[in-house]
Amino acid sequence: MKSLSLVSCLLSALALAAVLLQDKPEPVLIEAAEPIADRVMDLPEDGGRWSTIVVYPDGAKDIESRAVASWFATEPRLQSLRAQTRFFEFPQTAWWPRSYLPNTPAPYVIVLDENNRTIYHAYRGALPADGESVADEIQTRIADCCPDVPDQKPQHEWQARRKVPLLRPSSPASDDLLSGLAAIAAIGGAAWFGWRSREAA
Amino acid sequence: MGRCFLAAGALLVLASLAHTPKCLDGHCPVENLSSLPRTGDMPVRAHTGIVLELPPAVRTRNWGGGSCVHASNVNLLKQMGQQELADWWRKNYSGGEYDTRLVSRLEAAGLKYAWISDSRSHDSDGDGTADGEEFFYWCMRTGRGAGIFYKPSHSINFAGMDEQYVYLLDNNATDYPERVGYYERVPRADFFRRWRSYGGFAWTLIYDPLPGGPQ
Repeated sequence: MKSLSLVSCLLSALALAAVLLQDKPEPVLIEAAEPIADRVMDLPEDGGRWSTIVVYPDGAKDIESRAVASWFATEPRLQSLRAQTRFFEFPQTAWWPRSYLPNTPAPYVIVLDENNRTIYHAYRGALPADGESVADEIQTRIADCCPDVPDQKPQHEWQARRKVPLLRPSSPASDDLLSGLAAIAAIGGAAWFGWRSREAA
Repeated sequence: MGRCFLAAGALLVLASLAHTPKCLDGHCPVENLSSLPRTGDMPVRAHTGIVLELPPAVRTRNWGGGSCVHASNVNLLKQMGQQELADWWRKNYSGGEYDTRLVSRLEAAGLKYAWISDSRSHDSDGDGTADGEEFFYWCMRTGRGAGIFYKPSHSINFAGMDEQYVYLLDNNATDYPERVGYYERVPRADFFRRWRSYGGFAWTLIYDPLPGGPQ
């Protein structure tokens, strides 16, 4: 009988201990073995930037996905957007699209400002025909949402300066100029090569 | 009969305790967003000052007998879009951790990171703002959360700040229901004082932080 009481006492004590320990944070930190040496480094001031997010269906090999990927690799204004914003590419199964846009048909492109306001959004079935049209649309949305205003200094030290991406319109004039320069360079190169060849002979 | 009432009373007390929001060490949780300071029609992120925005299902809970430092680091890796590294860290490290070993592990893993140790409120550049505050201001300015040694023998995430409060995400309490998260908040002066009393150590990772949910 005594041993039975002892066992029940022990069980009760264990149960009580389990209840008491249940909600306590688990121990985590242990004492440092040695102090850490100081090291000063320059931290990037990359706040206030917008985000460009491209989401593909998982294991995407469809035509639309390949087209979207090639737009961002070749269209100059989209490349510029990519460089000026935080650029992310995800499969649809990644946590970000799964949590925030689970029902949007991929592939899709979304541009968010520094406060996560949607500036531009295009998704499968409603994507523009080519990269140039996407760039045109994004450029228009940026102009509509964020007209040129003098750069305002943030009110507090923990706030970043807003960095609105600047997409330059693709102008035929500048394209012509580039083509002209390329032609001059090509003629010059050919002439120099010919001269060197003659000299070697 | 008297015992029965006593038992019922005890059950009622226990039940009410179970539903009382926890306010450990003076850190009161933010229960809904309407209680947060607003500025006109600004979106959630702008008016709450929360930068480490991880949906509850994505948050990493403390595991394996006390891995809060590692859970905080995994949260940072997820916020910075480093899912593979987050899975790797989760798989390879668990248990207690201290600052120097964490730094050496960050280094060994080839991660880009920054840390601060400022228990004495140093002002290295003499600009009137202590180094610790400057570190958190930089995190905030660039949209990064941080891991901090905070609460007794514990480590959690710094999730953001505004003019009044600092917002925190505790890996011992990750399953909160709100859409943009359920954060603890502490008045700023209290936060800095307490953070220093726990050793004044904080770290973050230097990758592009993911935006929160589109507004």
